[in-house]
Amino acid sequence: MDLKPEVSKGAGYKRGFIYLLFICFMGLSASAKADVHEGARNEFKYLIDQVYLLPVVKQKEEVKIAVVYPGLQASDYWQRSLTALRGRLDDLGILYKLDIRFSQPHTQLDLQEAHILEMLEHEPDYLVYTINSLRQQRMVEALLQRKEPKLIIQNLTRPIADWYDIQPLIYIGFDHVEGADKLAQYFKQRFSKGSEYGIIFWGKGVLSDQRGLTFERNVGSYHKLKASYYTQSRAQAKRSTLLMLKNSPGLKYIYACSTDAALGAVDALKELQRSDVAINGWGGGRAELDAFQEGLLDVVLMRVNDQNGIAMAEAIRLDMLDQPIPNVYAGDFRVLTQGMDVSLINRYIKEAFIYSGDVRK
Amino acid sequence: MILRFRTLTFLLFLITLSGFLSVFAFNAYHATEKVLKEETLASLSQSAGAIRHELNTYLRLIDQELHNLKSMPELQVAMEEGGEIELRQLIMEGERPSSMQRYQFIILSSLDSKQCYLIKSRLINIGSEICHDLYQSYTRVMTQEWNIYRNGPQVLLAKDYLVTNSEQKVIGRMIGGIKLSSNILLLSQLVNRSVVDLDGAQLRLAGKSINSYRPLGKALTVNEKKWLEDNTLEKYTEDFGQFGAGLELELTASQQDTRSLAIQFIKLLGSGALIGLLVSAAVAFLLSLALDKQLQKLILYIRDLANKGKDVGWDVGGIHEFNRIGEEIDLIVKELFERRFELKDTNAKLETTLQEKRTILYQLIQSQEQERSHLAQELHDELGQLLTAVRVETVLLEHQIPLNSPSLGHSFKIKQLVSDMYSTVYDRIMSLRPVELDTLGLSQSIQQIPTLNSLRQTGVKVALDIDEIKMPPGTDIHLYRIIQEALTNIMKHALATEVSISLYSDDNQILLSIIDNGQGLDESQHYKKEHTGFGLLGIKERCEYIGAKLSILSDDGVSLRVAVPLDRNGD
Repeated sequence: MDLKPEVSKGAGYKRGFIYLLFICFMGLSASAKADVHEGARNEFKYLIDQVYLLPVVKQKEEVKIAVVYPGLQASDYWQRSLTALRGRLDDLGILYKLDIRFSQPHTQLDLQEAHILEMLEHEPDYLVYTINSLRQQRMVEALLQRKEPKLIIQNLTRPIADWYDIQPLIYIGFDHVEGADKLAQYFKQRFSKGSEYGIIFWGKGVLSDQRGLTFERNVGSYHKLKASYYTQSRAQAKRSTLLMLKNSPGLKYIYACSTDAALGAVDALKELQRSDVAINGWGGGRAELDAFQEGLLDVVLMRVNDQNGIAMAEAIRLDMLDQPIPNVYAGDFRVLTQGMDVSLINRYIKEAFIYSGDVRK
Repeated sequence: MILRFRTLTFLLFLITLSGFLSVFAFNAYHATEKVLKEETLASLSQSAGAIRHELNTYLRLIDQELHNLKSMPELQVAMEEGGEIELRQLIMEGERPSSMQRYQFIILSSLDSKQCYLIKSRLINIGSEICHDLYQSYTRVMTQEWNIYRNGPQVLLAKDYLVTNSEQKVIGRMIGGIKLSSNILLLSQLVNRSVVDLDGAQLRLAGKSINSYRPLGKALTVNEKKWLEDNTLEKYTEDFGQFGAGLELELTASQQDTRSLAIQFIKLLGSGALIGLLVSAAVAFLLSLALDKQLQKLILYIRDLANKGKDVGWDVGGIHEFNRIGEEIDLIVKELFERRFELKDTNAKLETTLQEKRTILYQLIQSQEQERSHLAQELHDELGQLLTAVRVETVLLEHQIPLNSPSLGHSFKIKQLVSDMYSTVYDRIMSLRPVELDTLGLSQSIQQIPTLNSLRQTGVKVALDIDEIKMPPGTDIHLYRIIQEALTNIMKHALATEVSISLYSDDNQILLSIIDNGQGLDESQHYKKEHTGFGLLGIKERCEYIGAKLSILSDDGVSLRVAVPLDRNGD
């Protein structure tokens, strides 16, 4: 039996008319919604850049924040985020309890799941996690089914479209695509057309796609990509670099998608005693800045690192105040190059690590 | 209240059009609810179809993933060797396309059910995690491709596959699927992938909600919230029985959009009616103005026709009907003018004829009076002398007859007869032409009218108030005749007991009045010959002849008054 209701023919023209009205209404509605989001984003950005302290949130009890980080890697990005988070929360006068678990980024997903389960037993108000693999995405999906805790997804600035309106509280990070664009511009300016290069990806996942593939697309045919490898550790990156240079000794530069990949490539160049191949750092953590200072890295794409932790703290504060929060916050980048004025570099570094402090040796 | 035609037509147009618009707006307003309901249900029906399609697509993808998974040699080996850790690593941590893509749990059981492994993320709650129970629950409802089944409070949707080893021997069964209950993400994805606009979607099993999703609400104003509270919105239920009995999808229409549509529709209707009203008023004004202009033109044309005559001519305008009216009026006026000229001719002829007849009548009256006078003179002069002679001869004869002779008696009778004859002749002479009129005047003649004696003899009181009046020549006989005729009428018809006659004059006129207290005149038969003979008609004619004004009043008798104007200059 056809359960579809019949529509009278007489209503046909009226229906068309109503559709027209409906389309107009939806257009206006969407436009208004976009304006609201844009407004919230600008206000949030303004908060991040604040140097003075904002009103204290009145709390009955401390806010519980659980952090499950793939932070066991060379980059100190994750640790610095936590430092900035703590610093900002302290500045805001928010009473909090941080519960942190570290694991390795790609290989300890089961452990991360266990960490999350363990955290959930303490009923946190907020859970900070990242997504760099399908498994992690599935874990977040499972968490999204719950009312608590509220999720802060770090190191991802492109909302997962397939979740539609079931989204985490906020995506915070540095836009890999934007960073990859900046580095691509740098290398295209630095090396002439037709130069050869290689790419070292960092794990199969969103990060490698956004950092690596974006770079490759941006460089396009201007430079010749001779080889690329997926790696999951600094040692693997070193091996991949050695292979790459063995097969293509004429590479002008190697594009590294992460700190570990960059340092692995540096290790390889050291072993080969070559200094004619340019390598980038991706993130601007302590290890990268040290290598940059030593001249081992030609360029470092430095995140204004502490914006990450500040953004998390501000998002938590606004949520506690029931204020609107943007879906995404992407921090700023600074490109540090050899030959750049040292005072400028120092100023950039100071800005980037306003809470986590100067990290250079 | 007198209105101009322009005002009247304007108001009529306006009232009619306003009424029509009001009726239209009223009907449209009431039709809105029906249209919205139909539209909403149709939209929800399409949405349900789209969501079903999305779910089927989603399940096909899961089916493909599960099929790939069960075909993996590593899985077969791990099953045969009974390694749960290996199976978990294979399914959960591998980087194969089949690694927990969309399915949320896997149950692997040997054919003898001695070994049973449940592989899933620990973050997903699918109810009891006792593998054998889960497996048994599924096998009990395993009747079709995809089956829904309960695991405690949770509702799962799963499909099963046989797992074979390298020799194609069936070594177990794999069940894979997703959680339906409390899986808001799934419902959200199905709804959003279907690109449908809903207020809510709910999966129900056996009438109870197992999963519900409401898209992020748009900000509502207080008025909008109140409207939504006061209005029931449409729901549509789609049977999802293909996965198991009692599973259905309930969709709720997007409240805000429905309300917005309703408001938009009402606003549009209101503004449309207002614009329609204004346009109608303008149209009514222009139409009434155009009509009025034509009517004014018509009125001016008719006025010109009346003032200037038939040669004005209709100035042809832009409206055919008014041109026709103008032409018709033109024709009618021309015809009227022709008839008017003809009538004037006829009247002139009639007047001439009447004048001729009146002249003849006056001549007749004059002739009659002359004839009567002549006849009276003849009778007086000749017959009177003869009768006098007979009387004289009879007297002479008497003297010759002896006194005792019987002839003396005869002689006496002859004298008496002669005397009677004389009286009769005298009366006749008087009626023909009162001799006294010429000698004694009108006042004496009136008193000699024989009818007066007759009236007195019948007991009628007659009062005379007659002045000696000098009047124009020839007038006296006509006044005499009028009195004579009036008294004759009184005698014959009035049944009066009193009659008064007065005659006097003032500086301007001679006034004669004859008044009786009889039964009066029958107004309808005033001048009819059969009742009055030529009486009143004769009086009227005589009055006209002498230029007198006649008035007759009949109220408790008849009052007849004749006023003869005196022309002092002519005296």
